[in-house]
Amino acid sequence: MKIGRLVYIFMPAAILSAFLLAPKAEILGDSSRVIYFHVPLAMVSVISFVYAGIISLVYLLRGGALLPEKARNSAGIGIVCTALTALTGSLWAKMAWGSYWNWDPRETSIIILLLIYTAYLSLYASLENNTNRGKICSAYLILTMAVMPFFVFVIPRVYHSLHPDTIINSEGVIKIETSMRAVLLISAAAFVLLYIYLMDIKNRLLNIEKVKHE
Amino acid sequence: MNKLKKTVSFLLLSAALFFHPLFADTPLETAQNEESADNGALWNVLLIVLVVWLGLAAYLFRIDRKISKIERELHEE
Repeated sequence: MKIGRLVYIFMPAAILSAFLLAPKAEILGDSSRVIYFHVPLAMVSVISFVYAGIISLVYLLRGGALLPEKARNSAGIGIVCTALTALTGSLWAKMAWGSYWNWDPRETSIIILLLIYTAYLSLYASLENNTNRGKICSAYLILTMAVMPFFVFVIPRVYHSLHPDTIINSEGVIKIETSMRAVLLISAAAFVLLYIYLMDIKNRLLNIEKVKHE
Repeated sequence: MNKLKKTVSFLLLSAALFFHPLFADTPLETAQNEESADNGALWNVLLIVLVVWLGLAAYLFRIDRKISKIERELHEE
């Protein structure tokens, strides 16, 4: 049994609990339910970028077949999740702040992050016939892994932002009701499982392609 | 393929019937007030999200099965 397949149980549970179990927030009302999709997507995008960076580091240190391709798969999922985080955040901003886009530090940093990783995809595609493609792309992913925390965690805290304090805040206190926290955990687990499942599918396809080429 | 289509259609129809406000325990009269209207919208959004997920899940499940089939064939070769 592949662990990623648990997403078929966890995702409906997350959706149902987000709408039925979680209470609505005092000021934001029902729009606060976006948190159960927006935050886990942001979490998965960070996880996928970090994983891509780590396996790139392993590739540069020890080598290994298909590692740059696996890093590319992870970064690809990360880009989709980042774009969906920006989209859900934008829809939520319209409900909470009155407009879809405000060039808030967090919104700006997420766009820069998207550009950095989209540039990686371009780099990867342009080096198709280059024998050093794996090394160059791995080095790029390690550098972006080092830069990414500044865009996600540092810049939005340095400058004044409309964005509320995140779950992982400077005080180290989780400011969220217990029932909402439980639903958020279920949702985070569902999205992480979805990431694991998608990675498994993409990596199995990669192995099939490798066997076919041989 | 047909079996899958039937299964997905059944799941979607079941979800639609199960989560539709008409089948909820709330009496229809109370739907007049604002809170019930909000709840109705909430149920509709829940239904849409679930249908989207069911569609995606069916698609992922099909891809997973196809890959497993190719893997088996390659293993036999």
